[in-house]
Amino acid sequence: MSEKSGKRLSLFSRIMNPKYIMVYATVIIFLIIYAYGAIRYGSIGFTTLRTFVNFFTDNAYYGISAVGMTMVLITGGIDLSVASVASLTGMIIAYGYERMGISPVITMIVSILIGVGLGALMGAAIHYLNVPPFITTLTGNFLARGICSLISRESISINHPLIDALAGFKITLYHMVDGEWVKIKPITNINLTVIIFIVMIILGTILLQHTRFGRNVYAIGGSESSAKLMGLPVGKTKVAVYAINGFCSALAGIAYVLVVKSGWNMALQGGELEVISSAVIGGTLLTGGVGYMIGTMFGVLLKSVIPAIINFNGTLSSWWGKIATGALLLLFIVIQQLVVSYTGKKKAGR
Amino acid sequence: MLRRKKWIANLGQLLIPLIALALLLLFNLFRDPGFFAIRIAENSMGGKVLTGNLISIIDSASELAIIAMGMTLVTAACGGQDISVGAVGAISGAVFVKVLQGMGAITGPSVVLGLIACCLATILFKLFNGTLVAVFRIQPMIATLILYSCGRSIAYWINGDATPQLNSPILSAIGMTIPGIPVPTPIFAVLLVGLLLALVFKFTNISLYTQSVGINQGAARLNGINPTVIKLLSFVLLGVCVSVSSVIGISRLGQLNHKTLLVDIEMDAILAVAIGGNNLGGGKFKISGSILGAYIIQMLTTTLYAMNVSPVNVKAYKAIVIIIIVVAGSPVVKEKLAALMKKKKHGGINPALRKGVG
Repeated sequence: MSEKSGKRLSLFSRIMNPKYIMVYATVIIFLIIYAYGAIRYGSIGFTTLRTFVNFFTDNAYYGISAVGMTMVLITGGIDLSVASVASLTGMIIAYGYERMGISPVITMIVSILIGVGLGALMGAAIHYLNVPPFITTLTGNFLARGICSLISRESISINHPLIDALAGFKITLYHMVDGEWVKIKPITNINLTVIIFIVMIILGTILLQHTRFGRNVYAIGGSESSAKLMGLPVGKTKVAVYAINGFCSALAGIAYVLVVKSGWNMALQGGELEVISSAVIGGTLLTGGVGYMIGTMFGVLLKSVIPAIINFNGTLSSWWGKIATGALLLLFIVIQQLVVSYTGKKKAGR
Repeated sequence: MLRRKKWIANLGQLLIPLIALALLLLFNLFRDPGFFAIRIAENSMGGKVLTGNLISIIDSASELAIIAMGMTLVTAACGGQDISVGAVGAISGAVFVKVLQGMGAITGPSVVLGLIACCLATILFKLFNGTLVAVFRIQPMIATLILYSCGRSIAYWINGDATPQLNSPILSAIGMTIPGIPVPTPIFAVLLVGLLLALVFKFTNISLYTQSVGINQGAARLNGINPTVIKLLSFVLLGVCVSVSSVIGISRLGQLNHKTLLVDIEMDAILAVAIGGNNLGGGKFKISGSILGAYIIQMLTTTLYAMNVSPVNVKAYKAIVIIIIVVAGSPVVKEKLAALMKKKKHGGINPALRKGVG
């Protein structure tokens, strides 16, 4: 009996751990905005499952990239090259098939290898050459974007059965009515990109929370010098984190190709900051050491729910979405800082 | 020998950017000696102006150079960078144009009033950034991410989606050349801002205070310096730089386009600071280094244009050159080089080296 209550208490205190506060804040704000939308626009279809699934669909490629970005941010680094690498992936697939006749399967594998390689290279430069992450990844950004433009300066649309098949792949949701399975109305489809997004979130959570590698990542973010003194493989872990991020960016590029079915050298411009701000809204601390995949997922959802509300309103300009996102970002950053100073972890000394 | 060493030591952080600049110049000399030709030509208004690649490099790097000066101060004081300069520049331009339109005709006083108004607006936005950084202790890059993502939307909100045309001899005098003076005006603007900053540093302790806050905030506070004020001041000075740049940018084109005004300048400005040998983690700084960095970036761009590289491809080549400069300037390579030079001098019997100090 006592053991049981003790266990319950520990579970309670585990859930109420202040380190999860940011995730809860994200979830609560998402729910508040969703509830507002449901009350105002519930009659015109805001509460349908389709709208909800669209929150995932709209920004799935940003979400996939945000998985890698969350890890990079937890180590205390930053990666500004993600959007360019994604755009490069699209370009390689498009140019490879449309101009050189290479099957998309090969170009997808090649572009993922390029993403991983570039990521590992940047990680090595950051760790072994001590170049600030900001500068290293900014040059990575320029390089990837520049190679894109070197390959082709115009948008190339892709017409390949495999891409069409992957883009057209969807799971239609059914529900039980009077003992019979019928399609949910309005018809709700889950795309391949959404599946990749959710799988990546789950894999990321497992990697971060349940492996030695994940604990190393948190340790490096908490204090790199302490991690080094403890004998943790700091260099290897950092290079691996940037390589994983490169993988995620390339995967995000593939997801983006499935959405737009084309490669363009200017695709996803400014996307890197969308990805970073999704992770920040999701409660990842930029000084490193704190962050959860599930928070990042809600950060991505929050970035889709605001434009959705503006869409449903119908009269507001899309610019308001950006201003609202900015205000939200401000709110989160200030809350984060208050939480950090409240829990006495004065890490953000600078 | 000793004198030469002292001379190099005085150059310090400027050594690598100067070498880079010299290499770029040499490269151009071998590629095409005509690159350096400066001619006197007539512009559309019949005035005599100097034209040539060198003039155009110095001219078109003006906005970047001015913003890089402010960015150096923010970097030194806060140990981070402001990525919202482009977006705030768009807001600043929107305010400037709004005031000009509100005044009716574009005259001398209305331009001055517009400049003052956009300066004040920019300072306000920069103080918002500065407060987040100095009072709430948020990393500068994140604090400025907010205005980066919504600044151009605010500019739109101020001025509507239009791209107003502004044709006036006064604006073209600011953006291009003053009739009778053959040198483009933006060059004078860089000189003016640089001179003002130099005077401020000469007659106040701001430079020293900024450095000490950047190196060790706690120690600076114990010595009676208020880090919050110093950080806010650096953002205010950056704000002034941004508004001057945006006015130049608008005058140069004779129109306001809030989507393209000073676009992507934040990354270039940060690169200019880094190429100039300044530590991106704060502390010691040299504004002259950043200005040099800005001219190197522009020189590189113009050289690539002269080689018929299309504007969108420039980024790839730029990245390669920047990688070389940044790696050459990275602490590890510097130490290795220093160790190598020492080894040469001591004939390879330096005991410290054997222990792996290098």
